Amino acid sequence: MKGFFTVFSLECKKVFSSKGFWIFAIVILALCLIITATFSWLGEALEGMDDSVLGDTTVELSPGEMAEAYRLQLNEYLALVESGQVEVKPGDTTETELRNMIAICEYCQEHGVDINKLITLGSLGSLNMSSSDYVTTMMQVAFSFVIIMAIVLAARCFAGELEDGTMRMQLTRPVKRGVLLSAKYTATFVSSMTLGIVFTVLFMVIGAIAFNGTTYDVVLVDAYQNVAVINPYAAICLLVLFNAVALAVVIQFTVFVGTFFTKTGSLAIPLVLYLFADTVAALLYNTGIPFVGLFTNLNWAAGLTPTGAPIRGMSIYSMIAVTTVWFAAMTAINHIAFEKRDLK
Amino acid sequence: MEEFSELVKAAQPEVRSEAKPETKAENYEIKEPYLSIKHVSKVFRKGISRLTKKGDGITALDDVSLDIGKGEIFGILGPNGAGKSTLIKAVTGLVVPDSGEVKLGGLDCKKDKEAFMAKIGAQIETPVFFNKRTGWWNLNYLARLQGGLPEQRIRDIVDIVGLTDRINTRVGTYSMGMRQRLGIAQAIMHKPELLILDEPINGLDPDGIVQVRELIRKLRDEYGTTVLFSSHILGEMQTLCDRVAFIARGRLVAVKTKKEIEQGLGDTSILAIVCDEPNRAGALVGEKFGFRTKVQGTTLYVEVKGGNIAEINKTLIENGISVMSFNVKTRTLEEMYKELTK
Repeated sequence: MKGFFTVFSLECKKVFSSKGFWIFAIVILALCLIITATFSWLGEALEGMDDSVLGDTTVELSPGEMAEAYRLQLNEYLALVESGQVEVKPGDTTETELRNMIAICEYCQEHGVDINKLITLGSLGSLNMSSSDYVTTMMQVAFSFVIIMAIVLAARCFAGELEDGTMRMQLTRPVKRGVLLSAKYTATFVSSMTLGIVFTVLFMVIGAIAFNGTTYDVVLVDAYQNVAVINPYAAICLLVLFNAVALAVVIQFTVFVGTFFTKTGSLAIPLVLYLFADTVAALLYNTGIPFVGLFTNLNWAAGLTPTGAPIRGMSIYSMIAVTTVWFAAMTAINHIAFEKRDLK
Repeated sequence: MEEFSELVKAAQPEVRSEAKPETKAENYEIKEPYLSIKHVSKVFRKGISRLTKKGDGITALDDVSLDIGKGEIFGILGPNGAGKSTLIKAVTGLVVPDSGEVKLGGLDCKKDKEAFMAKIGAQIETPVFFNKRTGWWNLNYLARLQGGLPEQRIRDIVDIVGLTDRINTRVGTYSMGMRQRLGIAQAIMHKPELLILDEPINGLDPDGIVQVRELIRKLRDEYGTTVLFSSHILGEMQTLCDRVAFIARGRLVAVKTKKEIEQGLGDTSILAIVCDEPNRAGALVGEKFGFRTKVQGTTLYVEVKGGNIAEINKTLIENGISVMSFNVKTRTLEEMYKELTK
């Protein structure tokens, strides 16, 4: 363990003192600020607009009545979609999404919750701009960039060093191969995660300033249209957790590929898989393979609903089990392969 | 620490003085091997056959066994691709041998990996560092991996290898020779018991070569460091090594001590005789002394074993052959190397 911490702290220092890391951090920050500016412009532009779903908003409605009104409209639309009179084009609200929205309306009606004061994760709820909506959305944006950065860092510190021979220099020291591998892995994870958390805190500050600290609760719907409402801060913590899992799996996969392929392969394969994960998930979705939802970590949040099934036929526990088994198996293969590898 | 600083002081003036003839390494009866390499074999295969260890591949090492005593300077000589680097990598654990074992003072290369590596300082093939970092950063990084070394010692080592002026610039800007010096610095900075140097004098200037040679001797004499090194430069081997192993096509062809090499070289010499009747002269010499001869133009080459050079001259003159020139060429290590690695 002592050896591990030495190598780990050295690796962390190396990452934090590298130019690449800071260039990435600045680029991600710049992109996020541009998106923030767009949002605030969008918010102002939408302020004067009527709520198109309800039509005439001059009538004062109680939260229950408003939810009822939404539900009726959504039901009407759903009936049209189901009968095939309205064709759902890509990008439109899908049937599942409609059902989810109806479920939310029913929940609001039942509990007397104002539907306009609820947000869903990962999609800016257009009309009810709030700091919690801003933070959760921006976190997703920032973390997707952080994951891309983590792939680059992992490919560089493992496959890159194997390729250019610096790994050889490190391994002629009294360091076990396994220790070096796990230390490099952990250092990449910790440095990327640190950046992600720093961004989260930054967005919370910006959100509090830009949206006067208005926070709305977060509503979650699972695959069986069960609804749960959670505190926005709890939702932020959950998102950090889900992204940590995503980062861990992605970095592990990059290092894994790097043990067998070159630096280019170790960079390209995970990057392509990650960038097209949504496309892959969408393609596979119709095949009915249950764990496709593992790709999109927002699904995981739905595990908090009473029945806790983010994907049909798969509970949150089985999702955790599948991920753990995958991670453990890949790590084991990775370690064995690296121990047996001849170094250039 | 102090003893190390003394080494620095002691090394400095002598670096410029002439190399003293080495007398210490005369008799090489190894009672107790320090580094023992037993039946090490390695075949580089591709794909899945790497796991099954069957099928065709490039044989890099074929049942190599070596015993090296403590405090010995041991050279490995062989053509390109003979398996020198693979052998060195197998010792340092960078290459996993198919079979065989490597032990250093009772420690197994695989089982006691950390303790084993702590005793080794190695510089393998071309030295590679983090190019975007300074030389100082690189040395510090490796020193931390070693388990931490006092800063003063790293400074002393930088002094010894003569990089003080450039240590704070990026390694990317270093020349080949400077990288080599930095490579040697990282190999000796923790005072290893076994120093492994793969082609240590490649790219070094004449000054640097003398310094490295002196440094190796110094380390052995003062600290009893065992040195295992490979080189293509035969002269270097001859002056520095106590024993030399000849490797060809992954096999250990011969191990010769310094004495054996010197004797082997002294015994055989080539005579180049320019005379008017080389063919008749060749027949005469072959008949009388039984030496191998070869005629090229007006020159007769004779492979002489032992003395008899004066006798040959006398015979030629007695038989009325006029000798224009008479050159004695002792057999070089190069020729010995060619013969052994053929």
